[in-house]
Amino acid sequence: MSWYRDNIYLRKEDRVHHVNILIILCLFFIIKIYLLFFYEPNLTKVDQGLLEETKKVFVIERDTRKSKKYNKQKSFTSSNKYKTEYQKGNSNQKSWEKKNTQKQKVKKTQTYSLFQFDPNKISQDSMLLLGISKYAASNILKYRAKGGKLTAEKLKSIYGIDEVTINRITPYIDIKKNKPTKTYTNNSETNKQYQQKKYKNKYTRKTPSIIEINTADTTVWKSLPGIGKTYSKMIVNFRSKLGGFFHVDQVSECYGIPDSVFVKIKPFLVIDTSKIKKRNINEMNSDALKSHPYVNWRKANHIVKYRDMHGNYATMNDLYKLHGLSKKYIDTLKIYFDVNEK
Amino acid sequence: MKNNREKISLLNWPKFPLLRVLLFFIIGILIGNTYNLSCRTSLSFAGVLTVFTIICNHYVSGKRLLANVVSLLIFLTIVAYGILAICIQKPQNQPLHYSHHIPGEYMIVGRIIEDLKKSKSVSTLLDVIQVDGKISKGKLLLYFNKKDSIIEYTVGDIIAVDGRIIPTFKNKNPKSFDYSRYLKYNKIEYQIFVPHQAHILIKNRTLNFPYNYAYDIRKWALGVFQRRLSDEQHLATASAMVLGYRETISKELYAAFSETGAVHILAVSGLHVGIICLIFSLLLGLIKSDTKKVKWFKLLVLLMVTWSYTLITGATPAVLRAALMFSFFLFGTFFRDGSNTYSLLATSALVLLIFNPYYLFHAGFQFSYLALISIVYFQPKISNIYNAKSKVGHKLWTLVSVSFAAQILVFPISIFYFHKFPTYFILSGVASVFLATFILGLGLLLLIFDQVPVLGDIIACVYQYLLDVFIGIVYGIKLLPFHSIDGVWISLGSMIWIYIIIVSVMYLVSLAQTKMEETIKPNYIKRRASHIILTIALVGLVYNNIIKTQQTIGNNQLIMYDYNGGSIIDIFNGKSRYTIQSDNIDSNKVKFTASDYRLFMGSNKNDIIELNKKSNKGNFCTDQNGQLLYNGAKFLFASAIKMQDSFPQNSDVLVLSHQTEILPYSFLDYHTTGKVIIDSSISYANANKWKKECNKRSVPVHYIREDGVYLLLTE
Repeated sequence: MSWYRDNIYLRKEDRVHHVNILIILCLFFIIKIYLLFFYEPNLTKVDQGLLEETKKVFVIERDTRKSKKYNKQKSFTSSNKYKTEYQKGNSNQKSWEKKNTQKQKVKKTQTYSLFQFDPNKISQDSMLLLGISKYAASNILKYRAKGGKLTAEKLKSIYGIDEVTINRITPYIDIKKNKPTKTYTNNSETNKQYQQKKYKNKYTRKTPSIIEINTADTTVWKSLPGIGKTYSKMIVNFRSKLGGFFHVDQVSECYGIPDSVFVKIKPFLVIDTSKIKKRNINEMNSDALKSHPYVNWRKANHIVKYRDMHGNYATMNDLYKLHGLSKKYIDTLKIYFDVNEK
Repeated sequence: MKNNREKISLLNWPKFPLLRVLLFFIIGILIGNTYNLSCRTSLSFAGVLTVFTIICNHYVSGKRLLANVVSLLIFLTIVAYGILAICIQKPQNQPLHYSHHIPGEYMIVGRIIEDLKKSKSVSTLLDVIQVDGKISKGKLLLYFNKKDSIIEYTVGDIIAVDGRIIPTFKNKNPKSFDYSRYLKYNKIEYQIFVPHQAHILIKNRTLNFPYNYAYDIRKWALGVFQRRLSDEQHLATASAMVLGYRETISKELYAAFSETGAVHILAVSGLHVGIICLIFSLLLGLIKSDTKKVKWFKLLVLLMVTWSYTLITGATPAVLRAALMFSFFLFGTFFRDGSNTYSLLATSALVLLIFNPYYLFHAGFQFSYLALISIVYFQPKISNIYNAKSKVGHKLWTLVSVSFAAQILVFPISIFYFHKFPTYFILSGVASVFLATFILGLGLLLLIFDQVPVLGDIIACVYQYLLDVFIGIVYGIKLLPFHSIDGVWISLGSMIWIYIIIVSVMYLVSLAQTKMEETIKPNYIKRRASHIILTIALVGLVYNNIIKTQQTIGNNQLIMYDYNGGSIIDIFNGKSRYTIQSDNIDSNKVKFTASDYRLFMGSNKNDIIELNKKSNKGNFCTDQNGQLLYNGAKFLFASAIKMQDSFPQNSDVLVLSHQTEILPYSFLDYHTTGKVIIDSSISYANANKWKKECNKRSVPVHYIREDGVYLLLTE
């Protein structure tokens, strides 16, 4: 006790000094905290227009860098494959080199001939003659086979044609309007009639009743028009992944449900949002987060990394600190996730 | 009876007004650094305590129990402020800090606040202004791409860069220097690797008022030195000593200075500020009138000189500290003669720590304060031992006593940080302090008379000779036998015990009393207490050393270091060490990975073992297939496998390093192992592929880059 009195005890005038020091400290820290936490220095010196322009340039460069990196990885893996093949004892090297030189030769000797053509009729060989790449030519063929009609405008949207070739060949496009041919029409009609008869014999559908979409199981879903075994399963799966619907329109988001079906069933749907299951965002790893339909891997990683760095989320409002997630998106996340288990 | 009671105060506290405040503030800083308290709690803690103490103090009077409580409360509040000081420096507590933007690629706008460092790739420090259009704050370490060969930014430029902010890399090797921790104490916790050409100048030279002139003066002075001094070493020493510009110092020169114990001369610090102050005060002494106006004029000139010198040398913490101390000193001597040096030290330390509590963990801060305390305390006692008769002898003896006194409190910490001790510190210390005065003075003269035709040439010529002598002395001391004791390793615990021993001995000596004094004012309790503390410290030191030897020499172990240039593996067996390493390893980089742990283990003998050769050494043996048998476990080094030959069908541990990238991932189909260790020389992408393969076969993986060093202990 006497040690304490000799070393810690302050006389009255000393106490006054120390309290003064405390007040100075208090004022200093108030100023410092204001400067560090809240004071936002003016950026009037810097040209804001220049900043915005550089930002645009940087964003473009970022994308090119990504694509370059991707290409590098690709080439790396292919060379690795080649290496391992080589080690197995096959002397593929020479043949591989031959292929390479041939390719280069082809590229060098390629000359383009230009002539008038109709993109809806032209064959693959003549397309190659025009200078369209093999890949693009096959794409055009596929497009035509699916029943698409090509115009000069649509040709641009074909995957694999670069602008140079488009500019070269557009003056030579010559499209003749054809009357639609009528073949197979009779056949298809008979098919439809046949099928309709078949179904009529099999099913007699129950009259649909109004259902609650957050509790309905597959059998209940099946009672709706246009929904069968697979669709009902898909919807229930989607719901379980989500944790529940908060709006009727979400049913249409389920992958594979056609709009026509949804329009049919919409009048029968009723929702009870209290049935939504909330999950604890602090206990989920990125894989678990990813499995939620609204969270892709990028966002999942973002959320998890932020949590690793700054500790658990105290409230859901902490998510607003994450940049790259819009406010609207976080509002939807708030519906499905919570910081505490419920 | 009450008046005769022995006072057991450690010091005469009222004599040192701010010392107690400083001590409690430091306790607060230490608490705040070890426990990760949130800003809100510490802020409310400090605020509530402040208000409570002020109210209590208002109503309490007289020497009662309550007064005791109030004085304790006051010190508790100071502790709370210490915690708060460090809490608000942590990036996660600052709402405007840029670290809230990670992860992701962003455009970052910031001001360059440090000279560009050019080693392998150009690096600098950025004071962040904006991230992705939002105002942010904080310091960021910036590395430019190696492809960007020509980068010419200067201090004060505002630039925009694009890239991904990542945390600084931690050194996971045991007992070794952690650069990320060093950066953390400089308020830098993140770094950015700028991709090729993803940087652009936004605005040129935006330094504010005093800094722009300081920068211009520094640039001009550097130009003068570059023109006048042809020799590279001359230029490096002169620009480092006079201007604090250290980029031109070669590794060889630095090593010579550090081994002889004169390295503090190269870094601008209190010594240099003191010398400059001394030179100017001698010049001002020529004005012989003692009116009040002249005194004020002298004070103002000296203050101007110190602070402008601080700004010119780049305002590094060491110079800032010295300048602050000198200004306090000047004020102290101006207003009151014979001001107390200890309270000066305490006051300057307190002010510095309030501004930046991380200074406490800077080695430079610890060194300079320990050196100053020990000079102030021991120097007069040492110089009293011998009384020189001649004037020159007296001056020389004071220099010797200063350099000896400084080492008393500095040597434990210098061994702790650098693991070596310069033997001829007195020689190098005296020579360097003596010559530094002239080098600084002549350097200033050279700068002033540079434009004068004949005089400038003469001064430059003399200056070159002086520098030649100085560097010659340093290299000469290095040539002497046993110029430094290398490889001494002490732990933090034993360093603290050594300090306690030194302080308690110091205290005991100061308590010595004559018989007269003993009858009037006995202090036997203090003496007994310090005896007890001394014995406890001695026992603690011995106990620490016993534990250390048990950990090191008593343990046989195999360790794989975290080193991304190749693989380094050490096997310790008693006092001998065997090393297995890949061919081309940069011996400079090994310093930061293995050498400290080797020192810790205290191994004397060392051998380099080559794989693929038969050998048998005590507790392990190798064979020609790249296998190592250690402690009953079979290690297979994939770098030694040749695919044409037959390789062993099974092993207990498979070690992969960067030379094994040829190995197909399906290698594990033909080979069974108990564990796979992936060296940190393998990239993340490749390591992940290996991990997948291993997970398929449910083989445990240890990736050194992520999981830290691999350590196998055997009793």
